Amino acid sequence: MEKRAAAPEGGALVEAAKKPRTAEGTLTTASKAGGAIQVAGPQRTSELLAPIMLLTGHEGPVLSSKFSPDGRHMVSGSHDKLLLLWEVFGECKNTLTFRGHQNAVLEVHWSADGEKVFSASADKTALLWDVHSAARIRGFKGHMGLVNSCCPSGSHVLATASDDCTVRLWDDRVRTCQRVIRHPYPVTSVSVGEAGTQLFTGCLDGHIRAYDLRRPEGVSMVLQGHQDIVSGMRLSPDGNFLLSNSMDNTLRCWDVKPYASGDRCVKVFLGAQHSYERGLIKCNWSKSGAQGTPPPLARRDRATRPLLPLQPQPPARASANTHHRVRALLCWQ
Amino acid sequence: MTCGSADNFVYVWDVATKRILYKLPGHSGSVNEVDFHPTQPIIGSCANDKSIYLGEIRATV
Repeated sequence: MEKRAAAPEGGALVEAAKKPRTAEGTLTTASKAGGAIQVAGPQRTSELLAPIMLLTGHEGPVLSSKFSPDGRHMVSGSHDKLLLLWEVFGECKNTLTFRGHQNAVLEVHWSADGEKVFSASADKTALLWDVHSAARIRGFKGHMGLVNSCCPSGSHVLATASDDCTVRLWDDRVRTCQRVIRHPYPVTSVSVGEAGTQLFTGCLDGHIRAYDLRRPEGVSMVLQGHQDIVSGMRLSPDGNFLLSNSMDNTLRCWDVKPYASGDRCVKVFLGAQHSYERGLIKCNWSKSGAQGTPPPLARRDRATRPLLPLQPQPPARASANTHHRVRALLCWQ
Repeated sequence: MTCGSADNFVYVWDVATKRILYKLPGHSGSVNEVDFHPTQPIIGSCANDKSIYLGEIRATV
């Protein structure tokens, strides 16, 4: 023991201690924690273990996935009737499994406080889960057809859209359905504003209907433009714009401010494709487009650069945990 | 904003210029949903090939 205590005075150990100081500090510490050498890779922009992480574990197509409001977890819903909770940082471990749906899970959402998860399923129900215990808090039963989409507002209100041509509004503190809104066709997507006053529904006929939930009467606005089924919708973080994805292979951005005039469809985005599978493909806003006109990734020098392809390479390191395989892919440029 | 696609790519657009910023390969099935991380430049995508990818993109402005 005494010999070892004397060792730091020797040259070898002192040099080793110097190394992390001379190299870029963050990179070497990150590579130490991960056990892999990543010095030659591109500059990192996030705290992910590797630039690209592959999460496997579902036994069917994964139909929906969402980050938690604090960004530390991700929940995914799949055709295999399960919801899985993942850690985003570190080894991306699968920490919890939510069992209870009788059929495919079609959409998942976090509550605003990050304590609960809502899920819509093809078993005609929506469920509310506790993320700490994976226990089912309650079910929302009443739809006669499969529930295509759900959207929470705040921590308690949930809107569900179903193939039975209705949208239902629920409060998780009240047992029964609060409101039923009937549509002429099956409803494929729904979105509610943060304040809980605006409701948007996307239908099989390609029309988006807006409702003012403070009033008892019907549609306040119909947004026409899509030529095919609306497969997904999201309100922008500031609530002023609605993004909708349709099977006519376009995405449209709608101005949904209360007193706007003229054409509500402000932008059309092309590129994403739909196929014969007719899956309900969702769309999302980046979280930074919070105020005014949304500039999520806008930057002047990028306007001249049309595409920034990232090229994932074959897996460089593999690791296993108790539940599922997680493969980390290193991205070299 | 971002969107999945049935041609196995993940698309990310710049809303201001309507240009495609990223067209990310990797999935071998229709991409069903893509979500942005709330605080860091990370996107998560899930697809019909039973897998979920978390990918790092460039830092925003």
